[in-house]
Amino acid sequence: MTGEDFVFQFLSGLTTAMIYFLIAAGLTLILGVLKMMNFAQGGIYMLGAYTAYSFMRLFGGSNFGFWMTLLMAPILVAVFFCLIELILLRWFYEKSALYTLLITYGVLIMTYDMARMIWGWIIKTAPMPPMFQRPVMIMGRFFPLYNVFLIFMGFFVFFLIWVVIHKTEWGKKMRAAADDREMTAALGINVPWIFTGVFGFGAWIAAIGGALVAPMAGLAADMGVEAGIIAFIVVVIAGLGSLPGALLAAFICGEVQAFGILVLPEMAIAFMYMVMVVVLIVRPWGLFGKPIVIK
Amino acid sequence: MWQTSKNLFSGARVWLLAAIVFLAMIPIFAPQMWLHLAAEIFIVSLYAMSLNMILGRAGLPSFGHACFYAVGAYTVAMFVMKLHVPLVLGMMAAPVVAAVFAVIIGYFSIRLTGIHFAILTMGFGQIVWAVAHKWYGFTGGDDGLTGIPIPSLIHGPIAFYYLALAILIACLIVIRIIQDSPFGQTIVAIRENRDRVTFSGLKVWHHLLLNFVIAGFFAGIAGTLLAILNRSAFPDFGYWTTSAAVVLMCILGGVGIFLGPILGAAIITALEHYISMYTYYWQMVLGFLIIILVVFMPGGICGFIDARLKKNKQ
Amino acid sequence: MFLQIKGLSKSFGALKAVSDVNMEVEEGERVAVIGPNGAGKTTFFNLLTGYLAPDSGEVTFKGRDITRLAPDRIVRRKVGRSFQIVNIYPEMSVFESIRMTLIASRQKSYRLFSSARKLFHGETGEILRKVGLAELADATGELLSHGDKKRLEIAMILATQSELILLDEPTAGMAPEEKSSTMALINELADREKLTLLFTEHDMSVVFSWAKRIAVMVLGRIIADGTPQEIRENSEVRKVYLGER
Repeated sequence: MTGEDFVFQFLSGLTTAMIYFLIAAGLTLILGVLKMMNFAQGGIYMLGAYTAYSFMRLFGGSNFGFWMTLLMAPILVAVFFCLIELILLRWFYEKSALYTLLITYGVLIMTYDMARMIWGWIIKTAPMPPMFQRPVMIMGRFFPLYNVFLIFMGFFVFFLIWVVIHKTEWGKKMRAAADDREMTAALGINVPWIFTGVFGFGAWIAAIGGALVAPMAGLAADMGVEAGIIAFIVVVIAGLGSLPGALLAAFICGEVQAFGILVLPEMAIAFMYMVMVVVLIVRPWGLFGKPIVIK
Repeated sequence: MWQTSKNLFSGARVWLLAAIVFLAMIPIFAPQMWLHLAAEIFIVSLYAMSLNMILGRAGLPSFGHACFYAVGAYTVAMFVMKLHVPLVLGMMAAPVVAAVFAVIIGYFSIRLTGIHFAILTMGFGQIVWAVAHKWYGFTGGDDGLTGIPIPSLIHGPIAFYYLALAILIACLIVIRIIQDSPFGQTIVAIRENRDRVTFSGLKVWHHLLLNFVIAGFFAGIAGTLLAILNRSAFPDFGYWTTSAAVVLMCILGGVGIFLGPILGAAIITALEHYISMYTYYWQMVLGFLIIILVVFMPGGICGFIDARLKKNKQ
Repeated sequence: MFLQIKGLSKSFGALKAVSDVNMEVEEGERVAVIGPNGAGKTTFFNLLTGYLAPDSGEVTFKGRDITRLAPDRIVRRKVGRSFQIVNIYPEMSVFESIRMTLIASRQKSYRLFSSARKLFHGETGEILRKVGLAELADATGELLSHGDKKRLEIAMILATQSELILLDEPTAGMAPEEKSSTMALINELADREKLTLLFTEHDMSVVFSWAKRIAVMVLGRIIADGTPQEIRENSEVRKVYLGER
């Protein structure tokens, strides 16, 4: 393998990694603060992609439309899922985790048909904004400019989340509620609203992920299935609730995919699962998680 | 949610016998399509009962149980089609192979509980699925292994109906015996209080592993029937959604009642079948039903009925 | 020498929870281990029962080394324990809980094909009578009163046929009459079944009424070990407890 090949694969893997990160980051947040495994995350991602598709079409596939879409579409999706949280989920946080697992699973499979009902069964393609319709020369090879953009967006979103969590009032309350729900409530902070906010934020991130991916791939109602599972894997390898862990884990998964394809193309997807299983066997609490007592 | 219901089905022997007689007589007046659906329900019921050994009895949420289901199906398919061995031998080998997988997966998973257990079992299940999905040479890839030759004896829908029913009943008897045994009690005790069991002088994880393997064994048996029903083995038999579906079935029917999972399996399988006849959007209906169920009947249908019975007695 | 503890130590980071403890217990003795809160008594018990591994030291029971054995193996060597926070089976009945413990201790837990219901009926009944829970045989574990839960715990320990029993604050949370009756039951059982007891307690009246020997643990060390009279007169002990009721 030449140097250029390596860099190319590396960047390819980095692109994939960023997509994984965007899907998983929201889940990490929700898991960390709400302590809930949100099965519906893949569905949120998928609806984010479809909503973006509609917005982009509405704006005629223009550059301006693309930025407007990024601004508006994810918020719409996030609000929708906030409503779901308000109506359904918030009553079950205190109870056994199995309830929220099942409810979010129910929501997930409803999203499949929701997408089909609104957008139909045929695979859709969102228009690539003209400003990105050219490749970039990297070490003598053509690499899609959009992918570079995506990589930047991944880092940007990571930075954004980090700032919100660590540098804002709301972030402080979030972290307090994550550490000790009861104490935080006793201090007069409205914990249920914080939770709704976190859920909405997590959904927003996933929807942005979907929106960013829309111009790159065909949209199908079941794109959320695989995405959801990948989000799972990343979050688990990271250690439940760790944001930097999610970035690292997404990176590992993305690169394992990229280079795994060269080694054994068919098994690339299996490699990711294998990484997860190995991590879980050696360090069940993930790379950055808090150690749990075994047996 | 985990509570065992003692009210329901007490003094149930007569009911059970009546049910068996009823089921045995169905092929006489039922249309062929129903027999196919009924056989499918029997198979899924056995699959659900096997999961409940882990989920309901041991209190461990396994999201990778479809793995053993699929392994059972693939084993019988491979034995018959690649090794050219009679179907009966394939059917006997399948649960053993499934049990071997369960030993390996269980060895690593059983050290964890709760969500970590759920995720690790799911991960293992996905690895098996991924291998089955991609390895064209061995497992037929995403085409699966199709065209399993079925001996004429069980070829017809009526014959297969009776085979599935007979195997289901036989397995249920064995599962019941195991659950009523000292081992079965130990598993329940572990679920209620692990530390107490350790302080009674037992190695908890030994028992949990054995329980896990037995559950895998029975899932393997269900898998063989599935392969015969479909005349094929497909990778999606082992996809995580198949694992999630069976968790759902157990919870729907009630994890604390012996026959609860069967009720759940019957309802969901029948629903999938019938809803899809009326609308393309059966997943939406199913999702909605799941949510309604969890919100209003957390103890499962049997748990709900049981609670009602308790209320009436007061 | 029934139980011999030599140089037992355990630190958590900079904190020396248990520090070079030496103790010898004869068969049939009733030893109370007392000390202020945080003295290391529970850690001490955890070390003896295999819940924690010591940093150094040796524990020998009936001539065999049990220092680093896993908890389940120590129980099988006939060392039993009760917990400060009552630890029973919440949904099993009293009868089932005791029977389960019998299944465990008589090594029947791997039996797959026999009926649990038929096992140990007589023995369970006997244990129920010994602890006075015969009328509550069908009561559900978590619905029992605190005192009855403790009795159930004691019943389960009896079922393990333990010869040495470590009781972590057996009368915690009880009213005075209940404390009396619980300690009376424990001592009666210990006499009848020839048990050796080691127990921790905060209530001094219980300690001085029921213990034949008292060990005082302060900051992980045993500072005094003797008869109740000796302990009362020990100047170091008086210093530690001065002002304490």
